[in-house]
Amino acid sequence: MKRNISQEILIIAALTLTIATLWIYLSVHRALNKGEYPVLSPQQTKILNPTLDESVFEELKKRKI
Amino acid sequence: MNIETKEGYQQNRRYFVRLPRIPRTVQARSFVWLSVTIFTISFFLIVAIRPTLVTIAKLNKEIKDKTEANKQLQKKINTLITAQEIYARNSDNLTLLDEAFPEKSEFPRLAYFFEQVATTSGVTLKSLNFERIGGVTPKEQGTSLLSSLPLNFSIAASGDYLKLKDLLKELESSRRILKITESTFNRVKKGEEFELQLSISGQASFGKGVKINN
Repeated sequence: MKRNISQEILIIAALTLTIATLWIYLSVHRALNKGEYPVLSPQQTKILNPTLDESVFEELKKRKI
Repeated sequence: MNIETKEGYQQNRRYFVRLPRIPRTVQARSFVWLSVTIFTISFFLIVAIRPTLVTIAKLNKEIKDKTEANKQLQKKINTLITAQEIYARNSDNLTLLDEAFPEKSEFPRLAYFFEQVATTSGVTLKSLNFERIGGVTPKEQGTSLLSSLPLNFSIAASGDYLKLKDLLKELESSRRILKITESTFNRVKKGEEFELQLSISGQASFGKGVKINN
């Protein structure tokens, strides 16, 4: 079947649209999953353990200086 | 104007326009318009929609990351507040910690403690030695690292077995953290009698990071 030029242009346009859509999808996917630098350093995220064995003080009081 | 005949048509041909086949023209025009539309959509997708969507995705990720960081920091703040409360509650007891684990070696105080314990136990203190503290370079001084330095000591005392045992017990119940590494009982001849002697070696620890003045 002989195609005329308008059909060829339509195929190219459809391919362009497909590629553009795919490119957008990949760009958004990459932007969402891009491993950028962390917001906080490990030192900043280090959590202090606030528990204290207060019975140690009682033990120390009983001991001699 | 006669156009019925071929000659008449040839003569008046300039007055006519040759139209292409109508169905083919409509289809081609549709294809062209559709192609133009698709190209326009593609153009705007690439030029306008893509950067917008990428920016939205980046901002979303940033918000998510910062929310997570905020949660972690809030958790840290809560633990710090708790620690602050505990510190405030036990601030009076901090002197006890200083006595148990002093910043400086404080060996005169330790020597006084040994003498006092020997007196209360009723034993005679024969010798008391402290080893010079080594391994601290000027570079290391002034650091805030919490680590301990040992202050080695050795005691020799003589007396009854029970009194010497008391001495050992008193040393073990010292508020200052003492690590007794060795204790030996010896019988030493003194004149015509034998004397029981106790030799004790150990370590007293103190904090690193403060100038040592001894």
